[in-house]
Amino acid sequence: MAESPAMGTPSLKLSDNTGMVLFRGELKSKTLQEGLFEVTKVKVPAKGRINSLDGLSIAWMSPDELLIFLPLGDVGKLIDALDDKLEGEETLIWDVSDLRSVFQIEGHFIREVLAKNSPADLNRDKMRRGTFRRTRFGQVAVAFWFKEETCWFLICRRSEAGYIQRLFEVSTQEGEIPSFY
Amino acid sequence: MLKLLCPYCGVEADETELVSGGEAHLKREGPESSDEEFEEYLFLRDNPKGIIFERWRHAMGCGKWFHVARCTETMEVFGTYPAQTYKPPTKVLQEIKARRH
Ligand SMILES: [Zn+2]
Repeated sequence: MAESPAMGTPSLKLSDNTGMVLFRGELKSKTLQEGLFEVTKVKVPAKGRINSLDGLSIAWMSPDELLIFLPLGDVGKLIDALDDKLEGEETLIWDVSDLRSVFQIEGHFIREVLAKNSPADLNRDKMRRGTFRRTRFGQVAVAFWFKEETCWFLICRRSEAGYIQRLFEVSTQEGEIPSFY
Repeated sequence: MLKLLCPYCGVEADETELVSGGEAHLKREGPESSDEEFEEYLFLRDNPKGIIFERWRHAMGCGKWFHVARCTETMEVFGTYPAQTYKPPTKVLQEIKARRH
């Protein structure tokens, strides 16, 4: 039997234990790539991608910017290790955990709910595992990616998290979820 | 609806993810320029019906500025290219020529 939207309304919850470190620099530099890999054990992602291993993820934000996700308690340690490893290199390494919010979205029809509020191409061949898509959700800038079809993540500015939460609730009310994908 | 390929992240961005920055390839006039030249640089912009070169920013994305060659009449997009240039790349000019002759 095909799944119908009524079967599994997705839910959204803040993931406040996630730390975020912004990394800026010349991402094509071998020194930076190797340094990042030695410290995080995760490879610098290709354009538009996110790489994850054991609770640490690195996302591609722009040609000169990465965002590293890891448990909040490990942020200080990571920044120290990166500063150490990349001493003398031109970089900006900054704890942005308080600047942004991470949401975890669980359930079915998540693609549908995102597609209702974002112009991003959410077809399965475009929005694949490992794709990190920066776009908008309603009127605010976000980025999303997924671990599994039923487990997605979304980041936004912390000051706009309340808006995301309310818009998500409205978009997932009974009878409001279409079935596209 | 306008869709532009961001040359930095390779995302086909929707108009609503972008911010328009107006005419591209302006000549910056400095303090030694005449009042007319400076006025032209600051305020006067072309508004052609047809081919236009524009600046756009991938605001809800990578945040970078890029350039677009498009047609205001047919809404065709001839190409997008990074902003680190003074004039449109040959490839884009060839594309315009190919479609206009
Ligand atoms: Zn972009």
